[in-house]
Amino acid sequence: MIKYIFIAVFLSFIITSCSIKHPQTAEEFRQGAPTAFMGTKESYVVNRALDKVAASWKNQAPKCLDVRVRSESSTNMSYQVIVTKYNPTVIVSKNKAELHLQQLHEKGVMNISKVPPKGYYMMVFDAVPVSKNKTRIDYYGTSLEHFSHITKAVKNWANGKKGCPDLTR
Amino acid sequence: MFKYLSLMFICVGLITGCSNVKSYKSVSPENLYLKAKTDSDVKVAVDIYKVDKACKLSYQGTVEVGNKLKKVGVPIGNYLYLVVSFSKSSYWSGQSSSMSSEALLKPEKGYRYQMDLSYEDAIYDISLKQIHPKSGQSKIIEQISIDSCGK
Repeated sequence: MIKYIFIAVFLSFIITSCSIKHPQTAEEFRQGAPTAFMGTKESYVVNRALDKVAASWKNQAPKCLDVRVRSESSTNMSYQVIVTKYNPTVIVSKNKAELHLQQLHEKGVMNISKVPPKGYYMMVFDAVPVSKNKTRIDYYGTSLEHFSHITKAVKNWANGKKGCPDLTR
Repeated sequence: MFKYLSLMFICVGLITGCSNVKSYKSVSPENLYLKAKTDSDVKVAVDIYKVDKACKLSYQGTVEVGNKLKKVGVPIGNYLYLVVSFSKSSYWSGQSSSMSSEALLKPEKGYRYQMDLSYEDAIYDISLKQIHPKSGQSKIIEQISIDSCGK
């Protein structure tokens, strides 16, 4: 887990072109992710109306992603504790729904660049209507398999299913 | 001699546990049913807190939940704060982690509450239902954060 927290922080650097400046807004993150090393933009379509997708995100995101994770790692030579608060934000307008996931390191990680108020951006999902009963989801974030259970859970919600990703993994 | 006595006291302290975790002492009737379905390396526990009118929490104890149905009794008529934690540890890698999710519950007289907890393939689910024992009718209780207490 700790290894992946460092990878996530490292990715944020890369997404911002290694200039020790993390995206401060979702829009900055959207612009940086697709061309970044191990960053990606992926799109898919679900067979549900936008308002239903938005309602699922509004219901599930606070329940599943508004969590605090404590990770411990110990060897003969070291002992480390990292506390990370995950902060989801869902913004719904008439023709769009957005889900942002940010991670705020409360303990054990030194922040060497400005941290946005709710933490570094990890993932951004945008939902826009394709037709009455179809919605396109655009995902901006990492292509690392390690985080795929989070994107899978968000896709599940868009499809009307439940279940939360384990953020300690 | 004094040195050995001190060592003995330290050992007793460690054996009896310096941790603050205590087993929840159930009350009557048994109105909260808990069951978990998880991958083998995951442990599930539910911490139970009483919530007073000022939204202050007092820890009542912890219930370890496994794949067998566990029945406990919780007080009726007052808010309870339930904190579900999924934890994993690996002796070989020396790593452990836990995550928690919370729910506010106000148990009512004449109902039982069923909490189903699952963890499979890194996706977990917490379902809390209020069930009328006679009619069998049930309704899902949405998870509400402690932040909404008193609002």
